[in-house]
Amino acid sequence: MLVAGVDAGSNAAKIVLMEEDQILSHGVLKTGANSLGAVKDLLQHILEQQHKKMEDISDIVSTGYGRNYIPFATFQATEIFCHAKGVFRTMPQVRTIIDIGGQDSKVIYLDNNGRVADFVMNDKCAAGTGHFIESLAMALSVPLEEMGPLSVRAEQEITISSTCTVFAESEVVSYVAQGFPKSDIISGVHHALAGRVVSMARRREIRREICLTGGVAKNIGVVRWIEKELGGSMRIPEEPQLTGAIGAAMIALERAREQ
Amino acid sequence: MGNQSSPKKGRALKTSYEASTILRNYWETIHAAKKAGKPIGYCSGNAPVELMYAFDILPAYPENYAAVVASAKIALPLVQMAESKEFSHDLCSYAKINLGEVFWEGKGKPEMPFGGLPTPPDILLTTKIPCITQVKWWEVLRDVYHCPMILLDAPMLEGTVDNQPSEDQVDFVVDQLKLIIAQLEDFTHTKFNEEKFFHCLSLSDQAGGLWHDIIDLRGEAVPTPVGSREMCGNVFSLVAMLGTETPVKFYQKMKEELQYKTWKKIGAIPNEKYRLLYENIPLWYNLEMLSDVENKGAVFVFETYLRYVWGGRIDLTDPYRGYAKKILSDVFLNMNLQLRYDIMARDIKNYHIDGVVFHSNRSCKRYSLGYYELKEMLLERLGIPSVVIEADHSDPSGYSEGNTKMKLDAFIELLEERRNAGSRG
Repeated sequence: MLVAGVDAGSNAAKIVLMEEDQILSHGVLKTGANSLGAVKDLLQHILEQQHKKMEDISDIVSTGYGRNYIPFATFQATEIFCHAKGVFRTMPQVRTIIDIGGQDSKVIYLDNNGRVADFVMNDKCAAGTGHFIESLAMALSVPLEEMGPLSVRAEQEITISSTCTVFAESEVVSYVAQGFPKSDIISGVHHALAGRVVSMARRREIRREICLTGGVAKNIGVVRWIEKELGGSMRIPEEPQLTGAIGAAMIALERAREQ
Repeated sequence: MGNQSSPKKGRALKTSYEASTILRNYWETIHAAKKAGKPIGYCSGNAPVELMYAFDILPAYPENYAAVVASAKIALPLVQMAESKEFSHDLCSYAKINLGEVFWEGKGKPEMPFGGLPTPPDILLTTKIPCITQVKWWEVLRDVYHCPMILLDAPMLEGTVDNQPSEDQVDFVVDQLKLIIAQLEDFTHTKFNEEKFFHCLSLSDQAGGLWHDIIDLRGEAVPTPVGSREMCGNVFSLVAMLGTETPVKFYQKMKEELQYKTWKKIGAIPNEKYRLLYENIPLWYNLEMLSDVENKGAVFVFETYLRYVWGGRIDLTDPYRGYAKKILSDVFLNMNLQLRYDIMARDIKNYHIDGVVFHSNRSCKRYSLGYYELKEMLLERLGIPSVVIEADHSDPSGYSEGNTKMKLDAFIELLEERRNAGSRG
């Protein structure tokens, strides 16, 4: 039985193709203004790779900010539930999920059966999200993927005190003008993000183990600061960006089996 | 999770269709009175408006009008105008909408619904029961319009779940009422018409009693016959016409319709699965948010704002003390956190609530205080889950639709999972 999970996020589309309980294929594509087009292209590409056709798919579930705009999805679920399902599939010992996406961050608290017991999300501003790092990477003229490796070379702590992305950008520019090394500044940026996310997580009891998902989990600098703030290590899925799409595919599989 | 049947369109209650006529009539009446040279008083919510009627002063409500403006989706330029006049971004958006209109300069002013508030006011009446902002806002209006301002002071309620103020607190408010009467006698150069005051109190008592009966009826009924969005429109009559016959007639009719629908078990939505409590003032520019959840089988059956800001009985056997008690007893904003929790816990039980949506309202921090504590208390003591959304009651500039929808969708998924887990034993 072939199913698909589509995570139409604010920055990237993620798709997972599952054959029964096994992940057959997956893909990630940056979305521009036409996110539906990106999702269609990506799905087409993945299907062609596997020599499959759209008609072979028994069920498609969508998640992410664009979840309601995927016309070929038969069901929609929020990332919160998809992340819970996606994480619990391979890491059933996890009780707290921190997800840092492009546009928001969430903390999902699971019960012992992997069900969502509660969740918190950032409010409407970009502080505490992947967008915070993207903006500051641009301000520093550093490619996004180099932000993590560069920051671990930091030699001194720099404090970015503003949670507002725009104000933080001014702080960063000011540090650059004062001649601070980029690695130190980037580490400060990661520390600011980690502080924001962890303070949100502390609104409820943080039970271990803790898992970090979302594209920002690929940034080693952020991971280290969150672990330092939490006082312990976190589990990180092999493909942290795909967790939501995996959860969506699992829901699709449950639905297809029920039919 | 997704893909439930869509709710039926239109109003759930036939009586609700009369609300827009009442609204239009109110505005026509007040503009006509101003033209005829009758005195107009700007009153804030919870102010003793019956005293105004006793002196033949017609009340107009800047706060209520700000909500009307926000509902018409024209609040933003007014808010921005107020901010350009150096009113703080953090000020209540009701105040900013009003002050944006008062201080408007240049072109581009939106067309104000119902011709705007009648200006200038002849007198201003306010109270600090809901908040201090109202007092400061009214002081600005006093400076602009050079008219007298009267203030009703009142202490914060620290009662029990029965919600009774102490005798000292009642004495204090009775003294305040008598002081206001003396001030109005000075202003109008007429003698206080106590009989008229008592008559208005009697009408307020009837309307307030009916309103609470309506809230009980729709809250206790399973399925509920009417959701929040419709009831937010229906409260206008009580807010702007308290002390008159209009809300008495309107709510009597509504109560009868609700009794019939409750008896017949006619629900607001086809398949009511989850019953929600809404805490705080609604998003006037996006009341759709309250009905969007109905697509997923959820319905708001109770709102603290509609119950604990508006309505309530008055003990007419001792009118001054009865009125003072009513003023003090029924305003959620004027209660400490423990009392709020106790009241919510009682209502959650009485109205068969499955989950609570807290609106952390940037404009009304006094209302929004302690939400994470309340959230934890509800879950730990009652097993009732809740979610906090961040927005503002009338300023749409900080509202994130995607973020809010995601929270509400996820919250309904959470309720569904809990229900499924329960049914699996």
